[in-house]
Amino acid sequence: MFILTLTQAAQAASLLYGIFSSGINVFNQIKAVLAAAGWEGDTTELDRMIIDAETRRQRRDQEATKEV
Amino acid sequence: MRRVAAVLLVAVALQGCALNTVRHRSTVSIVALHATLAAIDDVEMGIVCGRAGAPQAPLCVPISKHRIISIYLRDAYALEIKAGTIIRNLPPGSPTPAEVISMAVQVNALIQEVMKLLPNGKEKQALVEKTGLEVK
Repeated sequence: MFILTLTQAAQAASLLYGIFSSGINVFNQIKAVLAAAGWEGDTTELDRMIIDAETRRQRRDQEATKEV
Repeated sequence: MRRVAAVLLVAVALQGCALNTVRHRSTVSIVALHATLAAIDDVEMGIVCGRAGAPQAPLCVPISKHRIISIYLRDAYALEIKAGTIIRNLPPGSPTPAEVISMAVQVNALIQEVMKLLPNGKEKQALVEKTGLEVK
């Protein structure tokens, strides 16, 4: 029969707690990285689009009034 | 431990996707709309009558039409900038605001007007094929 001593039980509990808490940390870190990647990726695309749209808007504004 | 990590990773990835889906969809839509507008812009600019490389009439855009097209495109870009700025300030997961949808509809209407003014040459045909636009 397998019986844990008090020391072994304490070690097992400590090990499980370590795994569990590191899992939570990893979870939070990955979550933060993904959220940042999603947000930053979208923001970069939008910034690029807005800058290009503004350049083109100005050019078309000139073209609308240009003589030739 | 590896299995736990794999399950956690998938769960986090799904959660991340769910959080970003709605705002991300708005971003993809407005960026795609801009790509269409930019393609039309580039093509039209290259077929203005009298400019280097432009085809001869009637396959070129007369300057009078070019001015009208430029006004349509200028207004479309202004709408895009407004819509893009609104989307940029949305937190991830937010639904597309009604005013952004309305702006996208207006940009589409302007695109249709520009397409109607383009001469039916190979440039317009290539544009329709490239963008998948249906000219009504």
